[in-house]
Amino acid sequence: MEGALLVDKPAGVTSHDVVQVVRRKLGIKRIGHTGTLDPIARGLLILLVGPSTRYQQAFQGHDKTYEAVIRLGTQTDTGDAAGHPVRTAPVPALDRDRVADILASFKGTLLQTPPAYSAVKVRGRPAYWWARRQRPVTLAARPVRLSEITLLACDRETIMFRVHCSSGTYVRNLAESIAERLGTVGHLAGLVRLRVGAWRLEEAKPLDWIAQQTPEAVAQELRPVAPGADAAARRRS
Amino acid sequence: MTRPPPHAVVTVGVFDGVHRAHQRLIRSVIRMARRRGGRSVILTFDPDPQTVLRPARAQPSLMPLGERLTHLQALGADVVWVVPFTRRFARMTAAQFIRRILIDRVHAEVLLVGEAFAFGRGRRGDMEVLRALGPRYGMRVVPVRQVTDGGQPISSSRIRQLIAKGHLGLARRLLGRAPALYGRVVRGTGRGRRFHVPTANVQLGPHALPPSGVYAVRLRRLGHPRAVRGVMNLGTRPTFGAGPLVCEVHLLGFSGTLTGQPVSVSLLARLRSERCFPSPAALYRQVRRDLRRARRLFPRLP
Repeated sequence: MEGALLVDKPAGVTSHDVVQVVRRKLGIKRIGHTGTLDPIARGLLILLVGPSTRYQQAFQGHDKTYEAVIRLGTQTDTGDAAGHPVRTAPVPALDRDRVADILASFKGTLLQTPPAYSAVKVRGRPAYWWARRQRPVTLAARPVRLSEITLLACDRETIMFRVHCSSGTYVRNLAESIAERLGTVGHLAGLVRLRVGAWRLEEAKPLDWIAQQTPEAVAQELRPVAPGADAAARRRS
Repeated sequence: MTRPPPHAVVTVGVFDGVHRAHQRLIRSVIRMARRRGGRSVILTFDPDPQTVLRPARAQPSLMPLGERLTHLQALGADVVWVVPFTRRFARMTAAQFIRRILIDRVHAEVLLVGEAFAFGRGRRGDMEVLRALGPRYGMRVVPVRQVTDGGQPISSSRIRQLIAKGHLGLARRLLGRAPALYGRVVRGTGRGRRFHVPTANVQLGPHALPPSGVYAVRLRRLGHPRAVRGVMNLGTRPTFGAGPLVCEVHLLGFSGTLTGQPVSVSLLARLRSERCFPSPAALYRQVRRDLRRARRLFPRLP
């Protein structure tokens, strides 16, 4: 049994929890996911089952598309709504066109420093491990590319936008930077992952559907993975 | 006084692919049942016991259950019974299976199974056990010799390997029909629309697949008799490594909508391997060349 299982992860569970649910359902231990989705985030989480776990590396480099919500006026320690407030600032009156312009100014390449609460490994452990023990590490800045960023809606305190970004982009970080450029502070209040590479959330099954179905019905949802272009080229040569 | 239920000539198996050896076995069952004035009964399991007992080692099936049933029913047996193979069912011993299912439920008078057939907890119910226990219940067990082709047995796993290696001709001969892919037509990206090539994007199910490439195919909605000819592109979208395996079927002479329909895509011939194209326009020029070539080939294809 092998393939990719597209899961619509709800908020409130970790990516590892999802792997556990599917392991129990299919009766297979060899299952991995292809890129963490934060517990408070929702959306596309792709699991690789059985021999398909060999594609895990190839997935790491995929572009992603997110729908994100910024709540303005409060900065948190983790950068998202799960953390503790560390700073507040007054929110200026927002003009929709100005917000759209400021979003557009982020299009292209920019440098990001991964937040203290990220999964980037430092001395063998994820950064959040150090941060939770009050020993936050500083991480090197990395270039990321935003190929598309679109304002969806905004009101007095919140901005909803869609962004298409290269692998390794921290949307929490981006939310804080957007708030800063608007002259205030903010944090990421909502996040939905819509796409990973060519895989789309609309093709995914909700986690509670998976939990309630028979193992056979879940196995029917496994999708074949195309080998990478370089693997195909190697076969041709 | 009520008449006793008619006695049955029975066979049991997964019958994945309903290949030529399965067909020959089932036709023997039907012939024997007719001679004896009894019913012909096919018992088939779903899911394949391997996916329940050893999921990590389970191999992809050749076709979904619906297609399997269509082919089984087309052979003309009186009864096709799908037995749900659950973990609980798997704990049944050989003796329990014979008594509860074959005798009590099906009233089997004769059981025809391949020589290598084994069942029951721990696979302890093999031909010896069957031949020992069967007569106690008035059931005769007839082992059927494995059907070979080219010196090797015809089996679902052999066919699966042939398809994976791209040996369509031999797979077709062992199956008794063209090997096919199965899935559902989903909304595509609409790339082909401006090039006026009607295209079905098929989301493939977890069944056996051939190598990537371009094939002449026949696409059929499951349950519908009419098939549409076309050219299928199976493979990667080179910009995304490790992306969804793409199955696009460019159709000849079809108008209408297929979105949401379960379909089979029969592989008739392989035309070429995948190629990268510098632009969508270049890709569709090649698609049209493939369609013209396929159109010339189709009269000669089975």
